[in-house]
Amino acid sequence: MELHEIPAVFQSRLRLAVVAALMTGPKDFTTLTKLTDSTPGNLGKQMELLEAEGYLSCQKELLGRRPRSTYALTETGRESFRAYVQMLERIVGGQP
Amino acid sequence: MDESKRDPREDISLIRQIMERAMDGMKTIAPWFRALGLVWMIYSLAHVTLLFLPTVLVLDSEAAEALSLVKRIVQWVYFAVILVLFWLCRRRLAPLGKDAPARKLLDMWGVCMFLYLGITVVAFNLVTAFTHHCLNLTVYAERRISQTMSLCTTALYLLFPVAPLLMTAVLQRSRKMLLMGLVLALVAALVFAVDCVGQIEVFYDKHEAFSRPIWMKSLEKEPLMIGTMGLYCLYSFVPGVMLLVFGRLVKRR
Repeated sequence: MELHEIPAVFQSRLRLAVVAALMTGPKDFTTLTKLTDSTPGNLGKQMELLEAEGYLSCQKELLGRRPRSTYALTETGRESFRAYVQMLERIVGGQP
Repeated sequence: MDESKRDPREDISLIRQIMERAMDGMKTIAPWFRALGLVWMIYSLAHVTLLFLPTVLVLDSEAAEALSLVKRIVQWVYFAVILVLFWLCRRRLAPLGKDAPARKLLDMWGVCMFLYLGITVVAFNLVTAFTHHCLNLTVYAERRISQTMSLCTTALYLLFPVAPLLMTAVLQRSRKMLLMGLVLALVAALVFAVDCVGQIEVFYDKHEAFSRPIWMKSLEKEPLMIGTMGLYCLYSFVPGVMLLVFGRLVKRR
């Protein structure tokens, strides 16, 4: 599979990992950092890109005095992920 | 990492890994145990009500036949509901792959449960229909076959829910579940033993040519009554077991 075949959003494995994690339900930033084994700075950049593309929504709240951001996939994000997984399965199914 | 050329298998592997970590499959299957517990509770109430109705109401043969048909319909509907619930839960676990611990746990419960249901619902109905319609048996003989099958039902509680409960207790390292499993096993074994004595008593009642053993001479109908009550108690344990497992899986960190 060449880079140009992969949808732009999923050309980063970290973004792919974030979307996969969010398919199982909304998660906060700290949980996503742990699940994707990434640094907060790197993850933050990728989250902004995903949000700009309309793949996820962010809900900010205050827990006591600490801010907490919870991310969830939008319908666009879910559909795009499903289409990508189907493409992967088709490619893998066609390979020896 | 050079992402210019990616193997699609790597992406699938990454997706599976992340989803398994994120999904915590145990929490995904937890609602199945709760749903099953509630369905079982409703079925137990319906089943016991239908069993006791003939003793409360005076039914003619047509009404008795109709009641018997209702009982069979309730059983088959219950069987279908259980099957659908299991299939829906399994579908939710599909992204995790067949090696996921949650899927193995669910399959273990499913195998034990369907074996239990297969024997008690399917086999019981087939034997009853066969003896009723095909063999020219006396009412007493039919009743004996029915009672023997009820006896087997008690023993089958060891197959479900005791066996999967004990296995889950070991896997989840839960003392509460282990204790409940052992208590259930003991109760089922005791009820089975008492029921056996009750069956032997009925035999001696009907076949007066055989003399009772000395230790049975002082017994009246107590074993049968205790055995029957024990069976109904066991019915009520199953929803409790399912709700206990649900609670444990939901609280997992």
